[in-house]
Amino acid sequence: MKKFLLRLGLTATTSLVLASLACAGVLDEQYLARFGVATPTALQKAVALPTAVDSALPKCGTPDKHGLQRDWNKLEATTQKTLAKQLAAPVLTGTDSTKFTLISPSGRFTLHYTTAGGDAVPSILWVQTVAQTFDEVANAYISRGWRLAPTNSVDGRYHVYLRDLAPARLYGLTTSDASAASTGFLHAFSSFLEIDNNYTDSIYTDATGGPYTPLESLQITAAHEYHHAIQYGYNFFFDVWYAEATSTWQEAELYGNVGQNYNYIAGWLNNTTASLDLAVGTDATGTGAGYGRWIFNRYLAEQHGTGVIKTSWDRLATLDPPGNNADIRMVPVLETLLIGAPFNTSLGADFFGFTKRVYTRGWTNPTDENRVHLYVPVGTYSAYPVNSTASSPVPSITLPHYSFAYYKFRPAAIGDLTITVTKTSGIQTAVFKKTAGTISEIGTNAGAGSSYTIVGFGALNPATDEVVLLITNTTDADNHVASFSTDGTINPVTEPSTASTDGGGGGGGGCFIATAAYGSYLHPQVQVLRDFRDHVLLTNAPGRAFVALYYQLSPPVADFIARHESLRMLVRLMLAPLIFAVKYPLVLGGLLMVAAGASLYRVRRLTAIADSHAK
Amino acid sequence: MSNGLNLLLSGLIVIALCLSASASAKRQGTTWNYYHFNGQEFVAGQPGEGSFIAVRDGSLPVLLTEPAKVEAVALPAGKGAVAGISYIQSSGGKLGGRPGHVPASRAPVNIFSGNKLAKTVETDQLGYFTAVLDAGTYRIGTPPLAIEVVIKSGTTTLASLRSGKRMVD
Repeated sequence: MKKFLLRLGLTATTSLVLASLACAGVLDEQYLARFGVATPTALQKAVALPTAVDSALPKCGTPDKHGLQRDWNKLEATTQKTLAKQLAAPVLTGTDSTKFTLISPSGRFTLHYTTAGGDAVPSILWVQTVAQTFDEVANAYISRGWRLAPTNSVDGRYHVYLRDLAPARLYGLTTSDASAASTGFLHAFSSFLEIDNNYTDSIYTDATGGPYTPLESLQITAAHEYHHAIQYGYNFFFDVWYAEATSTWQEAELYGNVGQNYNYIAGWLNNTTASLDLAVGTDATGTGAGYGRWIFNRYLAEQHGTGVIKTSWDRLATLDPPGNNADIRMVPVLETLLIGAPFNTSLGADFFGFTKRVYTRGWTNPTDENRVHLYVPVGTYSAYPVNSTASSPVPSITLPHYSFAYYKFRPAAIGDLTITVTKTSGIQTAVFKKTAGTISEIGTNAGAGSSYTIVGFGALNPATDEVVLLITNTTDADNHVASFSTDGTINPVTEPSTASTDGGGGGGGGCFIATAAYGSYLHPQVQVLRDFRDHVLLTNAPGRAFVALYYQLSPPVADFIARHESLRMLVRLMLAPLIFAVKYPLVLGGLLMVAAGASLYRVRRLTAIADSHAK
Repeated sequence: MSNGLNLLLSGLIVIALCLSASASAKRQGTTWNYYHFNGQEFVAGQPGEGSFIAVRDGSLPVLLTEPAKVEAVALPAGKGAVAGISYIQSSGGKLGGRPGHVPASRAPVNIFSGNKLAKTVETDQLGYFTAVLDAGTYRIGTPPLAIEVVIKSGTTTLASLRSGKRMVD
């Protein structure tokens, strides 16, 4: 009996193990098949698909990832590895039977769409329009010499998903997929793209500068997003601001009639004292970061031909990332590119030229001439003389790398006007006079350094005429300074330290001494100091100067401290009050007031005692 | 007498400062410290909402989705740990700011020691992963999307691994 039970148990256990193994295999095969990576047969089938609406393949539309997520732990490791990236692909609404694919007429694109739920497309005609638009965009890029976006898909086509993006207030998004390295493009990645399913929501039709038709929104989105896909194919480690600047410039190149791209320029011209490569943050349209910078590409294209933009991406394709998964800064790439043949100029010269163009205009493209936002001065003077003691705003400015500022002088009955500028080596200046709508550049006075005399300033019409001073930092170094006056006053300026630019933020490194003292960059006390640096010190010129000086001096000190335990302890003790003050400024203020009150009380008491003794 | 009192008070203040600084400096080793991912790196403290990691010297790191009492599990002797997140960087936004990140869920993360694969771990639904490792220098991720980390015995190193990029417009 015992033997029987033992055998029964063994048999049951073996059956269970075998069954589970078998089931696992079936499940694996099922998911591999559904995601089109199962067998060579499936692959051959996909490649042989006709270039037409493929309603016969409903199950191959958008894969059911919910099921995959649910059953993930039941899959074998090799299957998980194969299917991991599928989890990142979008899921359309509806069931498998409502999801379809359409292959574009050129065969380059596979469009995923659904006829049910929130993502439902308005009609098959619209999906065909989307397919034709993407083909049109791809052909335009081919004719301009661009290398089309690589793909790792089984069918060899580029995949586009039509989804309802209006609730998320998105036109489209492009996501990297996997490495697609090839000769000359070692850091290329494939990608996939999502766009709105119809562009009929008012956030698109009534967007600033509108109204826009759904087709117009589709056109600029296809041009913009597919160029991001191309950018992944050049180098995954592209600088985001330049990617946006290039994609937005392409909107203008391919569908200039839509003109939505002009709306982004105002953000930049209202914030000209921010760097050209200002990070694309939470208010990119407000600051003009990335998107608004497209107009600089337009300027480069006008100066050197449209090929200059593609050449910059060609150059980027050959570069390795700086390490530790960081992106490649585009400013040095542009600097190197423009200084060499056939351009033989410099980014500084082109940037200065661009900042002049902001005022003088004279864009080649007539639409630009009418729609590029007007210059915005950072200061306007009506009372003279202008100098550092009497004028507001103070006639002095510290500029980060590749940034600029305009100052306006309203005509007044003071005869001639002479503007004297003192500046550090990275600053270039220009003065313009506008009389009855005609702009002329004023040359510097002979033998007098940077001073400009506007003869007959007092006779200009205050209602229509003006004089402007342009100050541009034409280098990649922060903290270049310019100071000016109209009474000949000269304010000394100091050359900025040579600390390297990090793209305009603290973020990553720094706090060397605190890190050495506390032993870890991630120590909470070090974080307190980093936050203080990023949110307080780096927001003003004196603070930035202090940080630059600190970065110059502190590394060897920190290195010494890190090697001596007693010193680390001592530095921690010294930093404690500082950290307390940074962390609890109100408490510190309160304590100081109490201490001051106590001292005052004590002084008064001692004085009273002394007085009573005197009596 | 007055000078003596001032001296005594100054001495007491210095001692109090020394004690608080000493205690503050030792905090890392004896209490749980919390870090959350801000889209680019791990920063100290718990987020307003969302997940975060609790670390303490000598203990395995713990991923939390809400404030809770953390039960310590000792790190194996001579080992260190890495706790990190694998994420897709998200940038841009024509109709408003969209910077942030998307977790790389259920993705394999390779950990190399030199050129040798030391361990492969899988991220969870929120993109987090942890691994216990010998002290040393490791490369996490598959090149070119890889970062270098230094693991120290008895401590947890935090790692943020960008495994993709998303342009959002």
